[in-house]
Amino acid sequence: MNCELTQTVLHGYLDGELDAARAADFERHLISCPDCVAALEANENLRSSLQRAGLYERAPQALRQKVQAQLGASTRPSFIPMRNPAPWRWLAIAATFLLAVFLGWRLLPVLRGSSGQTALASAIVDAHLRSLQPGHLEDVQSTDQHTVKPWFDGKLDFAPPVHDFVNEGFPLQGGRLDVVHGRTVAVLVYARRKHLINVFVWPTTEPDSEPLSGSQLGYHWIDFRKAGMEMCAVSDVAPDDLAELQHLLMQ
Amino acid sequence: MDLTTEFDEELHPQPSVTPEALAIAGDNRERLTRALEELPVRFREVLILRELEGCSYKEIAAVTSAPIGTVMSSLARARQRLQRVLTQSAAQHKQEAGREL
Repeated sequence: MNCELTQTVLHGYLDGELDAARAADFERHLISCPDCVAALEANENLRSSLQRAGLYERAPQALRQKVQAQLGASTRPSFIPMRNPAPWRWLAIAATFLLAVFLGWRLLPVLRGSSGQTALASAIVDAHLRSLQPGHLEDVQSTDQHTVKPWFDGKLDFAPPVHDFVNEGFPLQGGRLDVVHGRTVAVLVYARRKHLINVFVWPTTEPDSEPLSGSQLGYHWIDFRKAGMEMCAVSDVAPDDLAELQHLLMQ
Repeated sequence: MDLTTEFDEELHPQPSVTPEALAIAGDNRERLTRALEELPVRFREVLILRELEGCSYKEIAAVTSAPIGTVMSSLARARQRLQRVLTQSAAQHKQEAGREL
């Protein structure tokens, strides 16, 4: 054998260690070099007889792991060829994936819900502040629910529930239309002593929910869903008063 | 009924451990083991890591603390030597067999 490549590049080629360009170069060389063709074949035969001879008794998995544990972390990664990862490795990967999906599924709605709630609350507090400007509070000024409710007819694509709670200390003042997040909503105005309470009402497809409350710029709000309607009451009254009205509206 | 269906070896695998196969394998194993034992340790090491452990050059370099270029040239020399030893032992084997006959 006179070709010098039989002792160098040929082995890299045989072991799949050449990059694509060098492998292609060597394959071109093989066309014109019978030495290398013969050497490649001989080495391939040698490999298969080594691999088929059963020279190797693999240690049982438990023993391998024990030995590897004792070898220490520094040699471990290079010593174990990762050709056949243990089945539990896939289980671990699958478990991690499932956990991530589960957490995403559980947490995302919570995160999205809370930030959505906050955005909604600030829009509603803004609307409440706007309504307190002179002449903005009511489109229909009436303490009579039978005047206020029909007023909404034809102005909205839904019929908001309108009740007067004068006996409970929340006399109805009137109603108006407002726009929150690009949609037209009904607003019922109630009084509590000298304070005003705006109750924003719009239809929803979401299921009924427990009331969620918060405060912004010194105004309190309480939001809940009942029978296909979402309602958000906002005012500068004490949160307890707001909760009381919310109970009345829930009935 | 078609009685000429070809025997499907994948459906009905032959037992791989026939006495003949065992004898040949045993003979091969012994020959190869002896040949490997004749190699210097550093050659035997790279060869076993490569062919039996399936390590890459990079992994072998890490295990043997040698540069990757040295891994390739050691493998080349290990294979060359092993082949030479095996050819010699095959020739001896032939001669012995001839004498016995």
